[in-house]
Amino acid sequence: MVPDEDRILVGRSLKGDRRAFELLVKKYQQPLFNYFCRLVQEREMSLDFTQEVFLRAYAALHTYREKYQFSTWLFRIASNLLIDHWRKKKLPLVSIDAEPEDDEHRQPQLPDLEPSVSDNYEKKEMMERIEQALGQLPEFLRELFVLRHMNDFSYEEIAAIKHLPVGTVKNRVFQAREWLRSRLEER
Amino acid sequence: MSCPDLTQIYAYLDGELTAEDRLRLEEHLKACSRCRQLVADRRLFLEASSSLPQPDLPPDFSERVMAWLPPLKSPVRVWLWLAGGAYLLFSLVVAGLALGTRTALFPVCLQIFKNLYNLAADLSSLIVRLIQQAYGFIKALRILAGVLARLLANVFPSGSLGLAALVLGGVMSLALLWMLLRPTNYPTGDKK
Repeated sequence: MVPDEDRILVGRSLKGDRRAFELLVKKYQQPLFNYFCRLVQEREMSLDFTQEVFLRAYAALHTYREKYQFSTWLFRIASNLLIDHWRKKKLPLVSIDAEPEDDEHRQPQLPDLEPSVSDNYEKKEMMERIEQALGQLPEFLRELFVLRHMNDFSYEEIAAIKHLPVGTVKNRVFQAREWLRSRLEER
Repeated sequence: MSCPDLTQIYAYLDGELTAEDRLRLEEHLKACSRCRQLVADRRLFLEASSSLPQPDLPPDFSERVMAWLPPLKSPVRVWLWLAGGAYLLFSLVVAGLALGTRTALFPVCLQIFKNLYNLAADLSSLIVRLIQQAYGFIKALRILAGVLARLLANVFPSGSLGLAALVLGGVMSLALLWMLLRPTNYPTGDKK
């Protein structure tokens, strides 16, 4: 389904066509559930959050502007919900909004010698280890990693969802990847 | 080409390098086993990261969401209901009055009718007063503009006054255009 069809479905939903909104729910329920499952790591809470995103989106549908992609608009609602949740849990959120001075300019060095992860793991085993390590990844990095790899958003789309410069998003996704990969070395 | 750094390797795997940089890096990989190993490692890692299993949703999830949907916000409908309700009430009152003075409903309907009449009269006098106030305000503005124009005409030569008005008009038009075309924020309430 191309984004233009999303806009058509939004237009029909606004005219009271509930079937059109149901099509949007069916299209985005799995990506949103993936997102919450990886970030909240509790199935029931993830189900509640996924439902809450659709309810909030429906209530605010008249404020949606067609110049934005519906998917990024929807994930921005999801991200705000998650930030509220983390605030309530009193998790450190400084890193989400802060712009570290050297964030975009840090030049990662090529490691001199590193153990080969691909020699140690089969793909399936590696997936299991990534899943485990993901839970330990700091939230502000985990969210960007999940948006990139589980939701297949481009760097530009993630930047639009998170209101961050594209360079910062790229750098943080890089940090998340290398953080996770370094955990795979600890076998 | 010297060995690429990790960001370049990831940019290569993300397909974000230019054709020229990609070819240069691929040439380097043919000659450098260490970089080949790094690329193979990261490629496997990225493939594994993007193929993590999807958690299962309950089959009736979308129906559950649809059952909880709040009513769609539409201010037009609220006004339609209000107008329809008022019309219905008025019709019932008139019908009650038409039944005659002998029915028990007559005094109640008469009272409602009087109240409705008073409400309509109050509203119309309020509207008239508001119009009068607005007219007075516009008149005051006109006088103020006249005084200002005379003051300015005494200070500046007539040609420059026209130019200043033109510039002011241009700036105001641009400001209006900017306000209409500027990017709007998402309406979801930023948590920044």
